[in-house]
Amino acid sequence: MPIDEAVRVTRHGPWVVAAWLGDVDRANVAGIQRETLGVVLNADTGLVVDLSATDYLDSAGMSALVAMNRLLQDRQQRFRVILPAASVLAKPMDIAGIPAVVTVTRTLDEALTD
Amino acid sequence: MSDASGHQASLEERLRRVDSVTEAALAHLSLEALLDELLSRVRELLDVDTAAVLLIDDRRRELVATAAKGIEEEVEQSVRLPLGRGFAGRIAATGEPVVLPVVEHGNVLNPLLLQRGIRSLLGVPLIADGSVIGVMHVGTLAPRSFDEHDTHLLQVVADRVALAVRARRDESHRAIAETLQRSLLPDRMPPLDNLEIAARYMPAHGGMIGGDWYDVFSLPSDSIAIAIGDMTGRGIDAAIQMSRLRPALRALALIQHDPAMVLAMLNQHVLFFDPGTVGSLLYGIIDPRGVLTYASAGHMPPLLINDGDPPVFLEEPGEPILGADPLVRYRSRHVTLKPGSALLLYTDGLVERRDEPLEEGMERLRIAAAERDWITLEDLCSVVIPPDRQLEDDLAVLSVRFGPPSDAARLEMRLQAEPRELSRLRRSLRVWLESANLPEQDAYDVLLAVSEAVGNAIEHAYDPSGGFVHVIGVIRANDIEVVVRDEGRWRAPRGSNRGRGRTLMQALTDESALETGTDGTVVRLRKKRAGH
Repeated sequence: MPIDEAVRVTRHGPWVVAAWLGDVDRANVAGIQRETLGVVLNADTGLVVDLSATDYLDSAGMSALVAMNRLLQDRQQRFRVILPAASVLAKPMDIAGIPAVVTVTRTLDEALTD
Repeated sequence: MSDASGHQASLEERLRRVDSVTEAALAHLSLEALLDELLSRVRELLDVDTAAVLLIDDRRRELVATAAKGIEEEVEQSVRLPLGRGFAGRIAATGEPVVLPVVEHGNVLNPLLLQRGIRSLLGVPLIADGSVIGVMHVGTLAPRSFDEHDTHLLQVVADRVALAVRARRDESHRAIAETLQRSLLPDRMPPLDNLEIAARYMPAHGGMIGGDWYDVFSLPSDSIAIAIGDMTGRGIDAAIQMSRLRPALRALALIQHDPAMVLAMLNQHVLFFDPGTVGSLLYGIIDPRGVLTYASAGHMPPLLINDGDPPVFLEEPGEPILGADPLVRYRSRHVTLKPGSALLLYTDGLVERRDEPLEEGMERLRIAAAERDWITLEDLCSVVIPPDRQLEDDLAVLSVRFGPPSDAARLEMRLQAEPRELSRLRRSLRVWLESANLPEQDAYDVLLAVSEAVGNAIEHAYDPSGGFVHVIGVIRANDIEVVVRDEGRWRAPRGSNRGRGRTLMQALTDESALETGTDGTVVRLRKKRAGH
């Protein structure tokens, strides 16, 4: 799907939440990452990438999450990922060791709680 | 004036020196270097101020200044002269030498000759294989009466030059034609699910390029277009004709869905843009339901090989070749291809033999397809090309096999090694995995593991010009197995992605194995089905 439909952005106070919709893979991850980072303002506390509506996330997508985490840290901003426990994406994320590097929460509330 | 015998001796001496002009050392010079050297020596031999070679451009019927000494401007300005008129033009048209003791406006067309101040000219034709291929002329800045000895001498040199030019031109034409041919024939078959495609092109012996060509491309309506043709003409002419016809066919195919109409329009195209060119062409469309609609302009009928039935030639419409008749009408015919049936298109180089009726060669083809062992279409192409084929003609073979996977348990895909193919892969995998009735997580695990394997091949197997990745999956009672195969040489991994990819492949499946060799890499993934 076109990039602007693949990323749905909502604001919750000082947090920006970007929901990644559909499939994220090698082919489209660069554009999605760019689109996502583009909505983060300097004054924002942090960015949340919401994978609740993501159908597919490959190793390239996971690497992007890690990269975004680092980029935001460098800017003294926070980065969180929402991944429901029931999502099929959770098991591969665990295998790839992502939760050890990036803060992964189960719900939006959890993500927005300091 | 010297006495006759002295003059004769001097002539012999000069002829000996002409021989030295064309000796072995010159054999490996390029055409330009050779002409350059020869013209220098000619100037010396004949004691003239200018010397030039003009060659005939066949397609435009003009003389082109190709090499010159003392009048380099002719070449620098790419002077082109018409045949039949003026000094050089007359020599080329008549094939006879011309002497102009006095050069003036009336007898030369080329303004550079006058500008240069040339007062007298002698020109002779360059003749190879009995036809004029150009003109060689020499000139002087002071008036000179060229005599028949001079003419004879220049002609001797010219004959040698003509041979040298002919030999080099043939060679470079052949190289160009070969390059063109190779670039024009589709070596990248469109990766299409449910359609297996294989093709061969073999030039005539000696590499002489003929007019055979073929094309396969998908149409926006999800149909496939196939075409095979045989244009008359040889060498660079054939390659040029093909380079015009193929894009024209594709353009027409996009807007016109009736093959008969496409042929009719192509016929007009050939008659208008390439009059004098003729050739056969068979063009057809296979729609997603397997219905073949085709029309033929004097081309041999395709061979239909149904599973279990003897191969049979399709109906031959008997309509004329392209480029012959402006009023010709073509008619489309329809055949429903049964899933699994193969269609073989070919040119006469495959079946024609000297002193033998065409029907015999066609029957031989039919028998080969029926009785020889073949499984894939690549095999079919191999078995139908006879080892003793006619070598004077080139040959093209195109085969297609249509069929939805008769076995839902089997997945077979050929992808181009490009990231954008990954979404097509997932689409097919998802549909295929549904029939396995796996738990949601297991199905996703397989989806991701296979995609990572393919992603690796895309990233590592090929150089930027790309290649294919093959995916074959089978659902068995106890498990699912998927094999991902590429034909490249994996380069060393770059980036951190791959580490994750490999980890995922191994952890998400019950068995994973990677075998890499000089001609490709194979990744095997196996996932047990629940309860096993």
